[in-house]
Amino acid sequence: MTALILPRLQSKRRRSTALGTWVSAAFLALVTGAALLGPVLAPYDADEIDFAAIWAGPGGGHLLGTDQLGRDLFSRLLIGAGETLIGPVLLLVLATVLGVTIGVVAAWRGGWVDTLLARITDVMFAFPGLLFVVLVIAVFGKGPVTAIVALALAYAPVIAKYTRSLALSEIARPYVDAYRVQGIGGLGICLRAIVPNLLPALVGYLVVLFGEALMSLATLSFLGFGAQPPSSEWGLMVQEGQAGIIQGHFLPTLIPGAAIALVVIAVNIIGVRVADRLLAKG
Amino acid sequence: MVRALRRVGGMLLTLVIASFIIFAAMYAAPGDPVTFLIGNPENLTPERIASVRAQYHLDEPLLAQYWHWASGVVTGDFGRSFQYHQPVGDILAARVPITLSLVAYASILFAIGGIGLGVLAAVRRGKPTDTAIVGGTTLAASIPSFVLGIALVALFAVQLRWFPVAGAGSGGAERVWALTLPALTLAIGALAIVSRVTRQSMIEQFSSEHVEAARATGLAERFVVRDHVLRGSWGPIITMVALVIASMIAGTVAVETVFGISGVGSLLVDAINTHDFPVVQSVLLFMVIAYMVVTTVVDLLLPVLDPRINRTAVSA
Amino acid sequence: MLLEIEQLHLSFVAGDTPAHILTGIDVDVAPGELIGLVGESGSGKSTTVRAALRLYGDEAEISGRILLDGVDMVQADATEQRRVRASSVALVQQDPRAALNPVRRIGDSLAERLVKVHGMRRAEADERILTLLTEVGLTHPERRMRQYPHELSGGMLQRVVIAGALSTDPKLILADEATSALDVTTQAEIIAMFQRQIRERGLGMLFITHDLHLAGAICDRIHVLQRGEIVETLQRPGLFDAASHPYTRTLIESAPALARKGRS
Repeated sequence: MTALILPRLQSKRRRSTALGTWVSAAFLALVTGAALLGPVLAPYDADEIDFAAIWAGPGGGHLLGTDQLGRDLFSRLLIGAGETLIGPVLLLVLATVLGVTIGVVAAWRGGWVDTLLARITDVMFAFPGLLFVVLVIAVFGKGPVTAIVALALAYAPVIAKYTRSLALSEIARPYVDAYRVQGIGGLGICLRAIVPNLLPALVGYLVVLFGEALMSLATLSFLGFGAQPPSSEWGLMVQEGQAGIIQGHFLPTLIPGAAIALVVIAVNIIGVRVADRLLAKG
Repeated sequence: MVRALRRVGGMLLTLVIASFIIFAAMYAAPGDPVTFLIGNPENLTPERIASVRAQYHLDEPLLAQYWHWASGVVTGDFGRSFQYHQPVGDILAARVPITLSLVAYASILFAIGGIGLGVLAAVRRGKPTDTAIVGGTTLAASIPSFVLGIALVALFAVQLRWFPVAGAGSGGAERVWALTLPALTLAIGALAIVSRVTRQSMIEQFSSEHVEAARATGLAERFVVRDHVLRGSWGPIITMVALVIASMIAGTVAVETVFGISGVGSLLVDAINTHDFPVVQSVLLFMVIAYMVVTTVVDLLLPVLDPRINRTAVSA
Repeated sequence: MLLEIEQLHLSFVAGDTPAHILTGIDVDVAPGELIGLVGESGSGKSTTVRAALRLYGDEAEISGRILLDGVDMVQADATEQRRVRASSVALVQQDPRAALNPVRRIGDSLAERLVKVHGMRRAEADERILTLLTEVGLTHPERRMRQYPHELSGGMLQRVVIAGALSTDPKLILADEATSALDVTTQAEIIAMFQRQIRERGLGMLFITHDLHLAGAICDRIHVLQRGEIVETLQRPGLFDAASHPYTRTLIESAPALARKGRS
């Protein structure tokens, strides 16, 4: 799980960067719109099978054509956007709640809690890539919920480690002592002051992780471990459409594939921008 | 020497913990493995269940079972596959070489391509070539490997018919040919990180005094770049290349599935789908070991490249 | 003249506003001369040397005339610049530890330019380096050639760097704070060696230092540099007595004990 190393932006590239950010933001707004309104906008049902129109090309009643069961690709793409995007959001929310709690406690308490966190991350990092997630899925069975929880468990130590380093420098600040003098307890200080102060840096980091999380979740669905039929989650669409490749029907697999790649690219462009802003703020 | 021993000791300890987690996870899995072992429900007689339990040590406590399994693994006995009813060791022996050839092929591609692009970007730093390389490789890394793989199959195997659509070929030149697209898929995702580390490491070297000194002696720029800038940059580059190779062994899961290659990656996916726990355990263990061995070996070899590290014990 | 710098102006183009670093520098060095270029850090003395060798890329805008062994380095193309650097001139930097590639053996570092730039055979190059290492006062020269920079002391390394500088028979040596990082005894030894080389080989040397008194003790002529401009040139005889610029006076008074010695 190599966190992205962000490229430093040079001043010359500002103008093109700004344009890239706007295009990315507009594209993401479009996809989010589809995710929210997909079921309303879709011309067909996501699982409306039409054996008369198997592997139909674009046009002729089907904007992007149909898949191996004659289902309308455009409708499936619109309806699947919701599940594709909400998955990474859910897993990051879960991972953040876990990670921030552990990270702040480790930084605040130190001692054995801190050591335990260090050992857990060490062992987690011994499992390269998605292997830890695959292990969890092997034990608890496949399905979207397991996939999301497993990925959240994999991301939590990463977020905890990052939170811990941020929290340590925050705790060293004088205001913490000032709160203590006023008789406010540890939990109070953490919730009222420390966590809110960590949020900006954390949000920047989460934007970067979002692209990765979306890729990971889509990969799991592609392998058959995440979303299950008849869902039209994009990773699963790529897998189901793959059968048509050999007969020259590229669209059912390449369109959802391109959609995943474009969302990740757009998120990463915005992530670089956000990280850049945060660096500029110091 | 002390450093090497400590490093290897640390690796073995982590390995024991990781292997225990892998084993214990399967032990904790819901459902009784006996049902998978026997298969046909009509054979589920109490006597049969008892004999299977004894055969697979299923009625012993967790630690005892782990001991049976771990001591077996050390002697090359990985247990029997529930699914194929043959020793897992034999299955692995047939599949590991394919995965390793794929990873080796991809490693050659991404190391040459990534370092080459990084050198080019560093030499042309701040110029359009640099921007194009950094931007292009970053975009490429944003495409999930399974999407990239399918796109390559569609274009080069189905449309242009240059490569086979699936499989790993039967050996020799045919195997290299068949593994080209999957190796490319793995390699393209790694270009960004490797070229960026190369570029960064070289840019730091460019401003160092010994590079200036070399240039002041009238040395041609290509020698300055090759023998001074690049020579001083190898540490971070080799470390990153090794890290990528190590993670790539796990990355074969998606790529082998896309290209229908019978390596350990696709074996893992099959084993999970059929609840073939001995196979899942063994493949996970193989991937974790491979990952740790590669990273440890590189850590130990770095001093050979940089004579200074001998004295200042750098550890991971 | 080995080096003739005339009205050298240099500015760095970083961002939108160029930063002026050097304004109208004039420096000459003839064979057998030891010329001092003195100023505090940031006064532009190192920049002058690097500009003379044309070590800056597009980021520096240069105007004026820099004649190095008769070649105008401002007008010359990259190949010509490289030829001059290779044959006529050598640079000795302040920190020998930074100047030598840390991952290469000393013998390889020194032989490199002889083999790759001057087309010498390796055995021949090694022989020459061995002679020079002895000449600059290093013991066990064969062993030194097989060692890495981190295995030698700073003083020994500076001797190695100087042997490397002399290996191509340059006519001019640019010594950029070449003795500043060394202890007093080693400094004296290295300077004595410099003076011997200048005498025996008829070298010219531009000696850059922040230490006006050191320069006063050894240089034939001293240019005092402040904020990229030569504010005063001190000539022998007389040297410090003729100093009139307030900045030079401050530099002289900053170490009174040595100042008296320099005046004697």
